[in-house]
Amino acid sequence: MTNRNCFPNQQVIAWALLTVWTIALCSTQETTGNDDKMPEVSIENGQKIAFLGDYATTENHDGYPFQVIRGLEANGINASLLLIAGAGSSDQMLAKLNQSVLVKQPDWLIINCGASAAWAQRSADQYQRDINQMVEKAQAAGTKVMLTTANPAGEDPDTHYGRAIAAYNERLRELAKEKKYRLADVDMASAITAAGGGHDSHRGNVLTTDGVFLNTLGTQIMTLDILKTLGLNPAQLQKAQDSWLDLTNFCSAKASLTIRQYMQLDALAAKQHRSAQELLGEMTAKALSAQSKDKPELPPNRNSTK
Amino acid sequence: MFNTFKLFSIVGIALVAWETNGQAQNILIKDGQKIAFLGDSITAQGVEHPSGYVQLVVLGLKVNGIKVTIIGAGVGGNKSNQMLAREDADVIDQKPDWMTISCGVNDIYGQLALNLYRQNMIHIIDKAQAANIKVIILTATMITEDQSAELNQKLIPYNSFLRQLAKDKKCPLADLNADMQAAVLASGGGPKTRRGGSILTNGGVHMNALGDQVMAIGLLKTMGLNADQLQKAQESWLDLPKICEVDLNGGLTVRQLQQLDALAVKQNRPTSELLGELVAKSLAPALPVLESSASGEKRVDVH
Repeated sequence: MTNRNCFPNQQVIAWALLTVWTIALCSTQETTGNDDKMPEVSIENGQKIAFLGDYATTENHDGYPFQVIRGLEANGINASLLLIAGAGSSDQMLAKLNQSVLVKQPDWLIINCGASAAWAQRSADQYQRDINQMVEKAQAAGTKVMLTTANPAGEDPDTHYGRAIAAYNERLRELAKEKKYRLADVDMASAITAAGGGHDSHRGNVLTTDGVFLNTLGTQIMTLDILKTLGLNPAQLQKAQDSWLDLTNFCSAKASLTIRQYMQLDALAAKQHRSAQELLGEMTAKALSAQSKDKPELPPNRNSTK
Repeated sequence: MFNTFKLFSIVGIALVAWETNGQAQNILIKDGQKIAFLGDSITAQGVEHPSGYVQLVVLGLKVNGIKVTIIGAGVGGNKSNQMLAREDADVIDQKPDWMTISCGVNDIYGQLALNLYRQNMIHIIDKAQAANIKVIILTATMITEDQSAELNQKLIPYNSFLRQLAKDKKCPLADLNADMQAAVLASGGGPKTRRGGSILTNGGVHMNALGDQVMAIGLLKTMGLNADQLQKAQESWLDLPKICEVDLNGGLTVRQLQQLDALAVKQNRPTSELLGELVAKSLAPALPVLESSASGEKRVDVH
């Protein structure tokens, strides 16, 4: 059930990465068989998906749970969302599984657990035991389960937490192999490297906003992996991706400013009776529009994924 | 006197308030002293973020000739009972000269009764004072920028108690809740306005660059800095590069973000740095208008 991805070219960076990622997802499927043998979409119209996650699973509308729902919707599958974010480390998730999730009888449970467990210093053995018990409990309750590999706890893999996350992910892969659990194997460590991030990088965080919360790029990578593991084919994945490309008031980005600049920005926003963030978004869009006129090649060519 | 700050009425409030009420006084904090900042996530971020209020206080003191070392003792989600439980290890054992305490927001979230909050806070102050640590009490900051909201109303007796506690225990008081309320009012903000409910905060509780300045100025004022010293402090942090990370809070489409990131990749630099540069360029044409309108701006007296 695993679908670990490899990058043919480690020099590919940032948003081009997403194109490569999509190609990789598609080619993984294509190598498993022709169109006739492609896996069925495992989720049906009207089903309920529970997302159980820790600090890295956000309730924001631009987080991966909402993206998965949107991606399904773009393919004619309307699923409802049960979101349990900020559920803590693996033992805490296990403790609240019944009350927060199973009593609500979801058809699917997607578990993302790691950063909080690493902070709580759960060993890889404890983590594996917790996860296994969660899966067994959910399956006994008639809920289908998908595990996702743990997101980074800091984008530098060469740290205490980075190593803990890597160990958790190896355990998830072992579980998936031995027990035939469905696993969306989001190889964030490779993605970070491919995006020019990681140890000693000048680029800072590339898939997260703060080392843990996924940014828009990280969210899309994770979403595509989950959708693929749910059985969407390349055309459906592309359709999902297209569906969120031009959603307005959707993505966040951070601007490094001096305090003076921020105060000027806020003063200008105040004159226009609106928020600094709203003005910042508008300024950025205008500046980018001007840049695009000068350099029309900047937007990535989405069609190259075909 | 405060031409630079007339433009920025929000932060200028604290200066104006001091100017109308205060006379120069001795700075309480001495060169070489150690200050522990006990609190919740607001204080944790105040230490961690380069533009956090704790860091601004340190810079503000430094440019006025006072070098201090800090002990970051903010832990996210902490209520008064949890701060009391770790006071020995996180503060007293570190032997600071001063301790500031910012506590109350999570007591409200966690529905810790006022009488328990009172007991905990008294105990925290008593323990510090028994260890010869001088204490500055901070009123708990707002919970959302709408003073009429239920949680802010619940916070009122907690802060009233803190004001009385400061008198009883002879502790300097930084009334940051009052400063925040005044700043929100002066900014034309609030959830029911088009300016929105995040003038001083990111989402209502944790400080943004303006909120951190309101906190820092309020605290420096309580520490005894006079108007010139406060101005010097503020000037010292105004132009530090890349100090604020301002979030667009969903202001872009994915396509726009792709464009932005592609540019940053081409230039091999963080996207946030490039975005900051674009914003600075976009702001430049508006600056003369801002300066001229600011010169006619009416000041707001607070206290």
